Amino acid sequence: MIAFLVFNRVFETAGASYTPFDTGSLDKYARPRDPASSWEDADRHEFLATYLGHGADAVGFAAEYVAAHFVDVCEYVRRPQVSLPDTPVYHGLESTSGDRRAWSIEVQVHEDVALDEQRVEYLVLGPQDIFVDVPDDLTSKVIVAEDDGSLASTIQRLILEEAL
Amino acid sequence: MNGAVQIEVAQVIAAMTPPISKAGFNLAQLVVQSPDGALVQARAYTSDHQAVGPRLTEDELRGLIEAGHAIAVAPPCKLVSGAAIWVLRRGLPHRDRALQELRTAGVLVYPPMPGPDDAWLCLVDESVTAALSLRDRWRDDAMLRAKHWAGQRDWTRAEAEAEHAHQFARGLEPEVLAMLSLAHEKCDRVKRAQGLLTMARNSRGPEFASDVDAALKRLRLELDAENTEQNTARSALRELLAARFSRCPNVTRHLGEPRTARLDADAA
Repeated sequence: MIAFLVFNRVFETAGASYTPFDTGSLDKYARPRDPASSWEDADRHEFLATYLGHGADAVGFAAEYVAAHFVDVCEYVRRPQVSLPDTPVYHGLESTSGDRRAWSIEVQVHEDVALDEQRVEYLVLGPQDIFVDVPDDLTSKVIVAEDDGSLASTIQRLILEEAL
Repeated sequence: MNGAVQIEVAQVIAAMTPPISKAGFNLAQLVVQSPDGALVQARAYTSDHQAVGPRLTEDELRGLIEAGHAIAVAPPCKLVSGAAIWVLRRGLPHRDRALQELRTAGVLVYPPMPGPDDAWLCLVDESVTAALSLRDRWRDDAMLRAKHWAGQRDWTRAEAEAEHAHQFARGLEPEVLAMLSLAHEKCDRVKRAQGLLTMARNSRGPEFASDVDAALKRLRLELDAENTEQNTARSALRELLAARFSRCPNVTRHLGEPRTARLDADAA
């Protein structure tokens, strides 16, 4: 397993977009907090269109979004897979399983992104045995996690080190 | 979210490894499925006969396979406690011998399954001590070969063996990283050599990076000393030869002369 942490200037790519939830969750485990709300295909499309933003605005939006929902902003990164923000999410989406993807920000870049030194801040590897496959230019960006299970906590550490 | 499946009824359906890699060896965790369809990436095995780890949906597994994070195991095979897949890729030297050693050690659960790009997928029972001892020995052997080739100044081979040692190692190890970094440097891959040291520091902290630096210094000294010893031995041999040939003036006279000069001298 590997993860790329990219500089946020990648979001400024012309075709990028963001949503304050995982778009894949709309069809699966997420639905409006109000149980009386209709949640058919058309409702989901409307919901997506309502909260879809331009990638270039993602960083500014994220600052306000996190401040509005967490007492300690670092909690946005620290909260486990099954968790909620401190205050109910403004868009009203909830996961039926309590999964945080119902309120985690998703950024999509709708074109190829070159994963080079200018764009990649860190390349986190689960197993070290695939280091051989990393191009020479990116080797200094590599962080090898203790094991596959600590990939998420390693990413969390890297983001918090930068934020604090 | 973590899930659990009963080992005795679970099937191995995928392995967490890329389909293609320059590595000779990869270790892959298993994706297992229970009869009710639940999927779990097996990260640990419990004493009450369960495989536990993150739960996956079929869509997520499909995504992992399509993105090259995992490969399908087809046909699926029965899970055993402590199992992981050891991928022996075609770039691994002496691959047949490695497979034979897995068999002899009694840790190979099934005959190897064919994987993408001519990889052999070996379901290995890592709960048997012999499995990890064997992997450690492979690492040690690769390190010995890397040092041997470094001593011979064959840095291409030294680099290849150091790569293998790094793949066999069960974590980041200062001695192995030092050997690999030096080999990269000598193969004119200075950026990779430095990147490796940065990776060590960023992954395990400054203390670990100091250990790698110290190992690198030791290795340079060791190889310099070896080189000096070899040069001394060569000098001694040259002196011995010179002394021996000095008893045959006709030969000694021609040592070091160009062949044409020697032919001219012989003709004269």
